[in-house]
Amino acid sequence: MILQRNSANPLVRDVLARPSATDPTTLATAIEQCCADILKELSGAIKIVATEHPGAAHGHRFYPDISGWASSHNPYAWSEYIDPAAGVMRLVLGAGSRLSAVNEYPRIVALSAPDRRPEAYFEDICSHSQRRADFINTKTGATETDYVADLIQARSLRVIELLTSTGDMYHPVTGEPIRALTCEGLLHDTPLVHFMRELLHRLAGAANNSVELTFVLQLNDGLGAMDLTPITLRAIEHPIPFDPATGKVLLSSQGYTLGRSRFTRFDRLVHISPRQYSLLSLTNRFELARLMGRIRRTLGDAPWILAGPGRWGTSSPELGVPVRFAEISSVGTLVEIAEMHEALTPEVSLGTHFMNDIISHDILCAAVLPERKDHFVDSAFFEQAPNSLARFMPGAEAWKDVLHVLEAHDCGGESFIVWADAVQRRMICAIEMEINSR
Amino acid sequence: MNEQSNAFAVAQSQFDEAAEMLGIEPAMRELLRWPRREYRFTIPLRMDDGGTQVLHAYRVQYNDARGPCMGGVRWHPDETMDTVRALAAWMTWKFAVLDIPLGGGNGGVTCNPKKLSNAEKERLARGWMRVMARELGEDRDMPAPDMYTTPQVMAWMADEFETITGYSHPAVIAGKPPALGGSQGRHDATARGGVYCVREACRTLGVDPHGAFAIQGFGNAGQHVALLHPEILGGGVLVAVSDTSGGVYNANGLDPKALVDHKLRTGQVSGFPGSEPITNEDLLELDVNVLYPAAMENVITQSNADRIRAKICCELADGPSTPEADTLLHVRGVHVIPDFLANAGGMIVGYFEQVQGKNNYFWTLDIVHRQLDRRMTDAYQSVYRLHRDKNVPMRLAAYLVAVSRMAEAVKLRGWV
Repeated sequence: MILQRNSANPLVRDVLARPSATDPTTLATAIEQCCADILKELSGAIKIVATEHPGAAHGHRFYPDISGWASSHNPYAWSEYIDPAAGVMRLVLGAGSRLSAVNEYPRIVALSAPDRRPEAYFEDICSHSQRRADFINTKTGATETDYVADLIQARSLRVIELLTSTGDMYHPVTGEPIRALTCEGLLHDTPLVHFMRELLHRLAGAANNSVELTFVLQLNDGLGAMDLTPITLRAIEHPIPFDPATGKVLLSSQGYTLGRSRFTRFDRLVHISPRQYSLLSLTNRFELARLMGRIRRTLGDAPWILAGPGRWGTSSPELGVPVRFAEISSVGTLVEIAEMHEALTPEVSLGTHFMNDIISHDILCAAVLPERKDHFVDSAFFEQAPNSLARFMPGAEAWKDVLHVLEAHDCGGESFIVWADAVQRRMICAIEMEINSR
Repeated sequence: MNEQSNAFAVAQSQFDEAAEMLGIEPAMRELLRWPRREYRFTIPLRMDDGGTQVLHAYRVQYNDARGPCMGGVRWHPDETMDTVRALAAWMTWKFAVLDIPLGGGNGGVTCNPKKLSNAEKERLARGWMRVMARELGEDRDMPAPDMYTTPQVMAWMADEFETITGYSHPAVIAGKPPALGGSQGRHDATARGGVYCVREACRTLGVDPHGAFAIQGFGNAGQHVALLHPEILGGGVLVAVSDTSGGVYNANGLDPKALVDHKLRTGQVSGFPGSEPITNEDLLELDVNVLYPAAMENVITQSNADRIRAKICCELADGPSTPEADTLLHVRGVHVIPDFLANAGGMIVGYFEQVQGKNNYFWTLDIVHRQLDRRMTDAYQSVYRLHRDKNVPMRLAAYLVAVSRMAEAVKLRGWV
């Protein structure tokens, strides 16, 4: 007998209460019962299955066709046309370990707007598509990695068409169209997006909380259904509220964040003065961007906070600092201050110029619009705090008015902290005062 | 906005410098300092959610003394009449230095295309065309792709233009997909044009074409340069390449085909077998015959210009050298082929598309390559002659050639 969704709620709640103790069959049953009516409507296009080791062997490589992560709340709503409450999916070919690999690019899908992508050109899409996939070598039992291009070429035409796309890029030697792993066919020619959006909505409703689901998809090489194996289901924990006694607030933002919730400490904060930046010539704005790259190498890999005017990564220095992602790749929090000069307040980008990198590196992006309620920037602090630029970059003293490298200890603090709540889309950056001075 | 951060002010100041050196009379100077025609309009864009956004749009026909205007249509959040004016002016000078019988134009829409769905982009392209169609034509003004306007966008514009006029006009829009009358040879045109200039520079300066070369930036242009440099120059050893992942170096040479294949499979040049790592900065300072900055702006500044050891620097990227660095390189005898000239191959193929479309007769790839070679060679040589005769940097020489050709056309027409 097919259970209706309300009667499935207790089972879902039971799974959410003890996620680590849930066996695959129970989880699959809970998911199946939660969306039994949709599965029926889909006439078998998607089947929920419980499998200990989902995937299939292709030669000596055993891997699932798609590993996915989905959330009922989308923390990566980079456009006003994306509804955060509709959820999000990230998809990779092969094992799920690639979902969290730095410098890898899972396909990210806003479930309210699967067609909207932050890349404008097919070349950008290729640059930000998954390159490597993980699989188990059936001969050795070891986990190995190979290039997506090599794995995909051994698959059937149907799978290739579901998972890859071509555009106006051609191999410079062979002239063949270049394929990128985009999952476009999977998103447009199957009911996956509709199904996942509804499923997450119901799971979140049952949990009375946002939920995260990891899963695996097996595509049949013929014209058949796809099998969805749920792997884990858990409720998303909310961050504890920000305690104003924690420190002196330097930046705050409401409604303009991109990235998951967090509470993180940093030793350093780099600030570009919007006022001083607006006085620079176009040439000097580009030069400042190149200087940022040298600072990034000097600071090393320890994450830092970067705050400055307008859109990070724009190609137009009138709009913000025209850095390339490699020039700021070790930042942990990126803040866009919508303030430049009287004639122009640049529209913020929320990191869309390198959104895939921001997600891949788990960077929090926030925009501060100083004129708005619940937004704040302590410009006086940034202008007056001790500037360590000369120590890090001897010879760069000429930039000291525009570029501030601040170390928490030099500023009388213990650390810079960033608190963010992805659901409320709120971010606070503060300097945590040393315990003795609190 | 301060003067140096306004693109049109920069364009005017570059023109003023050239006009001063050429001793151009005041009326001519005033005419060439400003666009001849400007259009400013609004486009109501129906969004997918049923709402409507009203977007501001522009078109500038800078000067058509040498022929009908051609130039890009940009979709950009910071698009203003001044950015469009500046780009239209630069297109005018570029066509003139290439001795192509076209004037410069540019257009745009103030919008954020990254936030638009495909359906919204199509409505925007058609909306722009509905307003501008009566001012365009193969003998008046021809839009071309620019920032965020892809061949698909140009295809929508072409279709809308033909829908409005009621018959076929393959020459009105440049940058269309080949299936709709786009020209062969567009994909490698930028790189190919730059390498033709380098070949000419080697011949003219007596630089060994079989020597070492290095490429900073390994996107579309960089990859094609790696393959085309040895093909067109009859040799050359690719010793270093870099991209955002870092760089690879081998003094004995990197196999260009294998390196392109590695980049396309792995997404980066790093880790290429048989190479050692090199930073972007060190790559720029290698002792090579030819250096191709093909990545980003302002990588050669006054802080590293005295360490550039390349004999020829071919600027495939836009603005890789600062003005101060440009002067230093000139003084030190580094032969700079300025972006103005070096990366103009795509524009020339855009012109070829108009020529082919007007005749409704489409060339083979071989003809496109030969015609491109002729245009780039002639342009390089005319700029080089002025550079040598007046002992000015190549960049300034290119401006002088362009402005003097424009002034001559205006004079012959009797406008001034």
